[in-house]
Amino acid sequence: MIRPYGVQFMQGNEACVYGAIDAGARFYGGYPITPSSEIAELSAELLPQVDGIFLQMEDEIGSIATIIGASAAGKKSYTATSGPGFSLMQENLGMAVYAEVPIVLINIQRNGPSTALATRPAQGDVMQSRWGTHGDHPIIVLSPASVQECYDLTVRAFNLSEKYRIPVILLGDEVIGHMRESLIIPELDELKIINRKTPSAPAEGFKPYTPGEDDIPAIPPYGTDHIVHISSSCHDESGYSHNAPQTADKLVRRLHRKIENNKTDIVQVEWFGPDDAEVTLIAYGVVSRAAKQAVIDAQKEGLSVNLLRLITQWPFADEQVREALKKAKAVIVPELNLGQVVLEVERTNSFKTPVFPLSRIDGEIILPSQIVERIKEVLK
Amino acid sequence: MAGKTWQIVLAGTGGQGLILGGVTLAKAAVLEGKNAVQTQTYGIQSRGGYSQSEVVISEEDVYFPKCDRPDLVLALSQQGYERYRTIVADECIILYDQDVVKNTKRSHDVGYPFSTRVMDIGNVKAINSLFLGSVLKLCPVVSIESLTKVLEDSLPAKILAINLKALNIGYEEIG
Repeated sequence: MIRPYGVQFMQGNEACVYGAIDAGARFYGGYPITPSSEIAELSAELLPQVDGIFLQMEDEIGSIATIIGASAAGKKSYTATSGPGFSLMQENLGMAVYAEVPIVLINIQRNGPSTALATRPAQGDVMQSRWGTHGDHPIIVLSPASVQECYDLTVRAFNLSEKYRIPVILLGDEVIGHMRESLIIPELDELKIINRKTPSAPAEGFKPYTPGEDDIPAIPPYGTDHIVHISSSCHDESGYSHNAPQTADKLVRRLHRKIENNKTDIVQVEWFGPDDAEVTLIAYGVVSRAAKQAVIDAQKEGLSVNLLRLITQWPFADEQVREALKKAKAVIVPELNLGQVVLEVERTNSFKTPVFPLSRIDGEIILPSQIVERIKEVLK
Repeated sequence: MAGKTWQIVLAGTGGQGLILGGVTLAKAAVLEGKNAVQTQTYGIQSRGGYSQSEVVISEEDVYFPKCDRPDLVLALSQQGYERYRTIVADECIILYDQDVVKNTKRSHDVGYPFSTRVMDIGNVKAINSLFLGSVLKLCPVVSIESLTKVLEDSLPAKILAINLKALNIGYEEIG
């Protein structure tokens, strides 16, 4: 494979693939679906060139199952999907959370529900990416807003997944996935790559789900001297099924702790515009691009506006959102859904700051002018 | 031209090379050290349905990736023309294929017989080079030399000559 580096011009979906391969991914199992198909297409072309494997599965249930298996065997693995495919992956997504198998799932959101406007963008899967699989579970979700971030955040998705042994979802949208723009791909040795930890304990008497002080176990890949057993049922430190109430409680609380205690490492945001503004926009993905333009356009009209962009979608940036709510006179949350992140913003709002949604669900994207209009309405 | 952000929409029917045309234009801008973002809108059919490609080019950072205030709309189909004629600014040029589009005589409408001329040239697939030449003449967002360079770097030798010919015809024949 001829690895591109330096300034490149490519599609967001393509940048995801280069990011995955640079992060060390060598296995893709998937089922192509608009608007994520270019990820499968380019992975099929490139992975065999780096001794990796591309496997087209019969459906999305099989797709996520196969990457869980490949990751359990030691290969960094990923899949990509959209809409109905993401729904089909939910059950096994929970299995990967519970069994602590690192995988990266790229969801390029399209309009829904069901088949809906298959080729049009949306941000309707924000809550599904958090709560789509059943049961109490933590998750990490990252939201790219540029082709550069499609590359950077795919690398980061693998790093976080490996570090915390948890599935990481890269939650893009049709515009970001299909958009072409310039990005800078670094030299490989400039990249920080994190690999999952391996056991330091001897093989004899080894229990793979024994957590370290960081609450993260060093589960070895299948096929080494260290025993490994992976179960989707409630399991103790041996990895075997163990159904005592205290085992169930201890496991789920640890899974949450390993993410909650590391939010400073995981949560990333970007502030754009003046430090202090009357109105703060909170946005992510393609809508954050409209919001940036709106900040500039509003300034030209003498309005005081800034933007808090959520790069990490989940765990939620409570602290940063609280800061925004504390400082601003009003907060507007534009999003391509009927109000999902706005609910989280309201949840963190202990300041009685007025919070306003701005929704669009017709398959078109929110325009900068619509945001400026909303700002004017709010300031009236 | 410094600071000017150009927005160009290429609208027509799937299979007319609108997306490739947009990518070519954006690549030429990147070659000139400018920022360019190309996006697309298409239906569930890969050929035959409505399709459009949008390009935003600027020396500044491009935040909003779509064309909310186009400088030029290329309309190779009636649907493309209708979609834009009522929402664009008066000064926005609509460059339409006069062989297939019935225009409403807006003040900045420019007609050109794309369908006929590409037949004369001898390869309907060269239509994107033909329209890129015309677009560049009306909206000098990149130099024709940069665009030529992108075509030379991306097209196979056997179709390069006819595309360069189409590019120059499109450029020269627009008044």
